Amino acid sequence: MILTISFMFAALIIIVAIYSTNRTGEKPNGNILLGVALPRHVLKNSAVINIISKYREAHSLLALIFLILTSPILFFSGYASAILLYLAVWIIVYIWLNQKLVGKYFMRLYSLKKENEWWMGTQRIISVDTEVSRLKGTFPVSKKWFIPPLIITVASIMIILFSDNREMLFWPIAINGLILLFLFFMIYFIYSKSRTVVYSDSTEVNTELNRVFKREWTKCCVIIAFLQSCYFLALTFLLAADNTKNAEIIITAISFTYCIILIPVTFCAHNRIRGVRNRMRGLVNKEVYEDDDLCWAFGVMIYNNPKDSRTFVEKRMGHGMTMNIASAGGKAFAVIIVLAFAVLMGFAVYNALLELGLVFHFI
Amino acid sequence: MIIKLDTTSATPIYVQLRNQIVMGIGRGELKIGEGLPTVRQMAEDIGINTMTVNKTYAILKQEGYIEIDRRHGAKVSPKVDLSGRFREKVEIELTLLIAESSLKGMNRDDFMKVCADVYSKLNLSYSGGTA
Repeated sequence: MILTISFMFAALIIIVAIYSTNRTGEKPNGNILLGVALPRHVLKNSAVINIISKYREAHSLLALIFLILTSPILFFSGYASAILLYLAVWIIVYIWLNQKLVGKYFMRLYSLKKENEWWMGTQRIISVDTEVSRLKGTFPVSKKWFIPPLIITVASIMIILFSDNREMLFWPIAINGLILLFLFFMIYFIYSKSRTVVYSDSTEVNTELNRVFKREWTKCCVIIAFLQSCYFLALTFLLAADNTKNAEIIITAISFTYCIILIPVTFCAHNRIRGVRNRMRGLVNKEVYEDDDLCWAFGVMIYNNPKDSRTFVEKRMGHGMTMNIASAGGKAFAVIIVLAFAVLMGFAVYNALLELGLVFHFI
Repeated sequence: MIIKLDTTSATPIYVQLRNQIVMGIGRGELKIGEGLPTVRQMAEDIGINTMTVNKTYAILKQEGYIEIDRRHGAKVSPKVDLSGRFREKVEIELTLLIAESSLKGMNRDDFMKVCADVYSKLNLSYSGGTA
């Protein structure tokens, strides 16, 4: 029963996350509405408002339908892998339909923009502020901040090495700690090296906005790396002490706490950057735009611009960053995510069939 | 200084970059002694190969617009060259431009007016080799 409630809770979180992400498309983010870059004076245009209100009705209805579709989880009570499999299919279908819906209204708004020739600049022009480019190495936080998480991760491996209860379960945990630390360092590196953005004709404004962007996201990487190293240390320490009797409960409790802490860390970085941007943009005479609406694919979720060297770009809808799948780094991250999901799905399918007695253990 | 490069232009990127930096120095947007991004930083931000930026910097250094220091990177040093070699270059390019303008029906007065307008629009800080 606890397991069923946990899965229902997970499904509700997904609905709330997708619904709130969709809601961000209804409100202007600078001059961007529903992922389309528009001149500020047309944001209150009646045709634009009409498209937005229809979009609101459509995505709210979709959320309601998928809320009802969570009810079969109750019928699979006791079959954890079967619920996991159902939930995975439910997530895929929900995200797929939602992105189709967002894409449909995005195209409607884009067509309206095209009909009225509300162009915002050109995609062919690459802008570089020489002063910002020169100073960009000073914007990220120092990579030396990765030393404490590395020491903590090594300490968690030491605990396993010197523990009397060296269960098989411990090693994947320790190795995961190292892999994740490396992953966060890679993300830090990508943010540090990513190209600078020209927001306006003022070098002071461009410098400040790029400084805040790089500093906040690299700081976020360091904080998350530190938290995850503490998470793995706590996990190994408690498991070693507990002799794995209550392993599942310990892992669930600590993982849940870790996930809950991560959300405000990311949101704070995102909100600080957006706050500074909105404040600074009021001070400039002329904003610089790149009209790259058509580089946004899969319902404004994925960025695909071969002329942009950045691996991560800020999302036009929702919070945080997304990948530029036209870049080498973006392709690599996309492959890692798809493979990780495929492996998880493979395990879920196999275990579900095992639970239902349709296959036998290989060994 | 904000550099704008057109990726679909027939003019190669390294030439566009060179021209933009020269115009930036001329307009005073890049001051004497002001640092430029390193080759790597510039290449990362434009999204091009470091060799392309290297080529631009080498040309600018050869023309005397920038100085390259191993420790401090590139910086502006506008030694505007009005020696015979540069004047010869200007004359060759102007001859071609005047001939083309004449073929397109532009008379001498129109050509001179366009030259004067463009010169005043550039709002140059350095004129005749003086700051």
